[in-house]
Amino acid sequence: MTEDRTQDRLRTLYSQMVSVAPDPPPFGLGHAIEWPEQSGRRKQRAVFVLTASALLVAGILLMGGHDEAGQRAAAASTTTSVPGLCFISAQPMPSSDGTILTDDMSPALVMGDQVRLTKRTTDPGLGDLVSIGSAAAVVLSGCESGQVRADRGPLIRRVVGLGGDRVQLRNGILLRNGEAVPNPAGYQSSGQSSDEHIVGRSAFAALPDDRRKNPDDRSVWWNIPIDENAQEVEVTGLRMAQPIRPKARIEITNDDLVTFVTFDNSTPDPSAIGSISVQSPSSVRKIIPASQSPWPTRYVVTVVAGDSVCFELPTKQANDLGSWHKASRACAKSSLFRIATVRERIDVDLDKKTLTATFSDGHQLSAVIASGQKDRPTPRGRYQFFAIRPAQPKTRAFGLGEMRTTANSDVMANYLGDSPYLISLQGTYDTDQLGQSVTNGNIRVSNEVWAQLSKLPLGTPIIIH
Amino acid sequence: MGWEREEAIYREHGPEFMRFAVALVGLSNADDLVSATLTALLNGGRWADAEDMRAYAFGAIARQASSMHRSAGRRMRREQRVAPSFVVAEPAFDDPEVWRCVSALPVRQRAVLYLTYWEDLPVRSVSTMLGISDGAVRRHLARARSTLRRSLS
Repeated sequence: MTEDRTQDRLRTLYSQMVSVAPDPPPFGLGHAIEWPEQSGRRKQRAVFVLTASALLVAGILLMGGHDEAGQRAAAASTTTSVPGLCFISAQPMPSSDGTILTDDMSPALVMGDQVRLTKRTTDPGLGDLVSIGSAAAVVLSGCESGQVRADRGPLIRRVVGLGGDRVQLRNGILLRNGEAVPNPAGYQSSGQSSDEHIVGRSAFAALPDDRRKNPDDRSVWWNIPIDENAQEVEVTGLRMAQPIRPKARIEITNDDLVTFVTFDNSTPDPSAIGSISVQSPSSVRKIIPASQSPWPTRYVVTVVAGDSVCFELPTKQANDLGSWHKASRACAKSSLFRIATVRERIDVDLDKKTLTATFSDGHQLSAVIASGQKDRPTPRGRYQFFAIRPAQPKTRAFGLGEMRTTANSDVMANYLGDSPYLISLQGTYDTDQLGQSVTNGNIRVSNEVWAQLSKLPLGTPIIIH
Repeated sequence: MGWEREEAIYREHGPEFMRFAVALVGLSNADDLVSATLTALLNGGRWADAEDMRAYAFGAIARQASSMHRSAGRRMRREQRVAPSFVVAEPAFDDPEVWRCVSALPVRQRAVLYLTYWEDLPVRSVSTMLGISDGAVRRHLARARSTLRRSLS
């Protein structure tokens, strides 16, 4: 009886479904998209690029030298090959790293951010950041008029429309299928309007977050073919204004952490490690909802003084924080933030070689760890983890991935010539090393444990005893 | 351009493909699913060689749906991280509970259910269409039934 009833309900559902099924899309390989650069011309350009590159190298070899005249000649050679460089950038880009040199994707990406352009994306999603690396991008960014945008860095845009979407700017507001889409960065309208565009089936539309600096229609790209023009963008790290040096690090003591401010009349918990919900450090003056921030939304409070709050910056910004920016911490008006205590934390006991993670629902996870060797110890202190990324390199010792922390290893930093060496919490396939002091300072756990830990929110405090 | 046979099959069975797609991925994604499958079939160049082009297309739609299901999950997570407001609502069916339960099943089970209970196909035909064994079809069907029975009881 139950079986029959289930089947009846199922058939009723199917009858409704098929009755509302739309007509199939037209036969063919999707809508044709006219685009300035097609493969034939690209081949011609490839030949040109090879020729131009060869000429450039030959020119430098012939004219370059150690004397001033030679250097001037080499510089002149470089200048004359600028159009070649423009064409080089017109080729589909291989996976590469790049540094962001413009601010029109702020705060998701700000000047100095280092990004990795990975595999070509065949499946861009709304809100994704993509690097547009084709001839089309170069044409639109000004190379066609003889300008060379070598200062521009990777050209990165946010996907705002997918195949079949109707997209339009009306008085600066992006409309997608007739509905307003909020700017992820909370920027105010730039006021521009455009015609309505239908995004092609194998294409997407993209635009910069901050359009106020480029308020013309060209800053929005309505039909970017997916197959050849887009690369996925992975933020791999942030350029730091100054290297983090041990002396610049703020020592966090218990006293610094006992003062909490709450706006919802809940009782502050002075014994807990505090974090604050915060907007991007680069946007402390531009309020955006924390839920929309692509940055870690939690930072460890170091000082609450009057109506200001200071917190640890997991990374440092070269600009935008202005006078607030000091060493590895930032300070801002506390009214900008929701300040609350959080339960999530990771406690590491180096002596016992154990780790205990506390999750938001209060449950705990304990595991055995591997830590730094005697001459390359894991630094003790209060830190937080600020980024998560796949393991690099992919070997047996390095497991699924790593959670980067703000803990700097002095020994390794000195060894590397005063470059910061931020330790990570890593997974590993090599479980035999657990319980031992074998790493360069990094903390390792089994892949299974790491997979659980990786669910903790960015900004979770990690306390190494 | 040399796609006369493919076009003829598509014209004849396109509505069937759409219905199957709706059953697999819902109304809002069915269009994309059929488009993506059609593109893959035409680019693959082997569709016209199939003994039963209609059945081959059904199988291709099911495979594409599995792939879309995985990428849709990734995409949804990305979108929610960046812009939680992007939500596509499915139309309400008279019996939303059944739709909720069916849409929670793995794609392969959804395909087997639809072909069995709506298209009324025997196990052998379903297995040929989906490119799996008869035993696998029976197993998917049994698991889907069992899940639905449990969820709907």
